[in-house]
Amino acid sequence: MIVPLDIIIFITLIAAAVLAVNVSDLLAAVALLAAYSLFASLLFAGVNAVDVALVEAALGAGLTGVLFIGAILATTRHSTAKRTWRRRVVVLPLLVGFIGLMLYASIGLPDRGDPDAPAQTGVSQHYLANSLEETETPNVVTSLLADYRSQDTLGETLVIVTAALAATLVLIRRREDEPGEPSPLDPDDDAPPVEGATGGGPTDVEPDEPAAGRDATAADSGPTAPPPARDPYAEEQRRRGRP
Amino acid sequence: MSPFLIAVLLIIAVLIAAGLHRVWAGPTVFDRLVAIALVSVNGVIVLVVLGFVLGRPSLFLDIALAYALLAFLLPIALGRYFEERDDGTSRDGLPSPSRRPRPTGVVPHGLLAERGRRATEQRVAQAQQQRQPSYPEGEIQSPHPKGRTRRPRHYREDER
Amino acid sequence: MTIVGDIIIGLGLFFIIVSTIALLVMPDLYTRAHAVAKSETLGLLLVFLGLFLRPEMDAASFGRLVFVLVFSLIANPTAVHALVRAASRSGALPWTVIDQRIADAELGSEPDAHGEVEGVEAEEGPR
Repeated sequence: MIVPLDIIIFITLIAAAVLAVNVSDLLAAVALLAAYSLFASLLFAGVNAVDVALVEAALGAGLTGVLFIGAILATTRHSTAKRTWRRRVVVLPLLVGFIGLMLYASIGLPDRGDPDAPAQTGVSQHYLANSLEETETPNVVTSLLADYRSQDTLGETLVIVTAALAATLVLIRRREDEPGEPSPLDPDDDAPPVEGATGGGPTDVEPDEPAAGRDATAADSGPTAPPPARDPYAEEQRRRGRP
Repeated sequence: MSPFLIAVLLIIAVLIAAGLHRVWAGPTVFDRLVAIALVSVNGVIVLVVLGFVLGRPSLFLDIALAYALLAFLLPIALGRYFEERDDGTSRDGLPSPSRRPRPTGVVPHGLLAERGRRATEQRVAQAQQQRQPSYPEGEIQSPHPKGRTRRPRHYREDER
Repeated sequence: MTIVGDIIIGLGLFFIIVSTIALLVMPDLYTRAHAVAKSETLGLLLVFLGLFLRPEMDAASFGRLVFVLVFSLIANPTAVHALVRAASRSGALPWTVIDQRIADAELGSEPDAHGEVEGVEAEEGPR
C-alpha cells in the first residue's frame, strides 16, 4: 500500500466529484463520472482489492457512462439544477452533521482482522462449521448468500429489477418525440391503411437506416405542421375488423 | 517495491490531477472530453505500473485491459452523439455549424510571420481591387487626402 | 536489464509529462487533441516496453501486456479522433488569426462605421 499515491488519487477523486456536480454540460459530467470510477478503481487496486477494482472499472467507466449518454440522448444536455443560497444554508449543516455522525460511529468499530470481534466469534463460527451438512452446498459464500441470508439477496434483486425498469422507461423514449411525431410505441406502419384515418400524413416514418448518425431519428426532421392526433388502439381495433 | 517505479507512479498521479484543470477550464465540451481521454490513458498506465510494484502484474493487467477496453467506448459514444443528421441539422435541432459560413479575413498564421504579412498585404490589395468600381475613362479624382489627381494607367502614352 | 528498462520507462515518462503540459498550455482544441493522441500514445508505448524488461515479469503477464500495449496503441488515437471529428462537425474552429483589414475589405464595410482603419490608404478621404 503506497500512501502518497493513495493521497494524491483521493484528492483527485474529490476534485473530480466536485467538478462533476458543478459542470453545466451533462456530457462532460458523464465523462467526469467515468473518471471518478477510474480513481475509485485505482484506490481499490492500491489496497490489493483486485476483484473490486475490476468490477468498479468495468461498470463505472463503461456501462454507466454509456447508459447515461443514452439517457441524455433521450432527455436534455444541459443541467437545470437550481443552486440558491437558501438551499446551501439548509443542506450544508445536515451534511456536516451526518459525516460527523458516521466518523464518530466508525471510531468504535473493532480493528480489521481482530479475532475477538463480534463478527468472528458470533454466528460465523456456526456457519463455517455446519454449512456443508445443513445446506449441501460446497461453497460457503454461496450458502450464506442464498440460504442463511437469502432475504438480503431478495432485497438486492428487487433493487436491481427496479433500477432496470426505471432505466428502460427513460431510455425507451427519444428526444424527438414531440406531440405529433410518431414514437416507437406506435403500431407499425406496414399495417394495411385504415379507411377513416388521415391517410399518409404523419405515417411516412422512414425505416431505421443503418447509416451512421441516424440511429436516434424516427422521422424526417424539419418544421412540419403538427398532424392530427392518432389513436393507435382504435386503429388496431379497426384493423382487426372489430367496430 | 522498487523506488523508481514508485516515483513513476507518483509523477503520473500528479499528472492525472493536473489534467483535471483542463476539464474545469476547457472552453468547449470537446476540450473536457479530450482531457478525460488523457486522464483515462494515464489511469491505465498507473494500473499497469501498480501491478508491477505490488508484485502481481497479471491480475492488475486484467483490470487495466478491462478499463482500457471500456474507456475506449466512451469517446466513441460521445462522438456518435454529436453526429449531424443528413439534412445538415445537428442533434440539438439547430442548423449545423459546419455548414454556416466561416468568418472572413482569416489569414494564414504560420512560423514565417513575414510571409504572413506579405500575404496579408496582397489579400488586402486584392480585396480592395475587387470592391472598387471600374474606373471611368478619363481623369479620375483620387480620394487621396492630398488631393492628387491621376490619370488611369492605361491612358498613359508611354505605357501602351 | 532492469537499468535499460528503467531508462526506457524514464523516456516514456518524459513524453507523458510533455503531453500533459501541452494539454494545459496549448491554445486550441485541435492542438490539445494532437498532444493527447500522439505523444501520449508514444509515452505509453515506451513505458510498456520498459516494463517488459523488469524482473517481475512472468509468462502470464507477458501476453496480457502485449495485448494491452497493442490495444492502447490502436484505441487511444482512434478515440481522440472520434472526438475531434465530432468537434469539427459541430463547428469548432481552429485557432486562427483574423486580420481586421482583410475582413473589412472582403465584407466591404464602410470606413466610417468603425472609425479609422489603419493601413487602408485610399479609403479615407474627405467625405
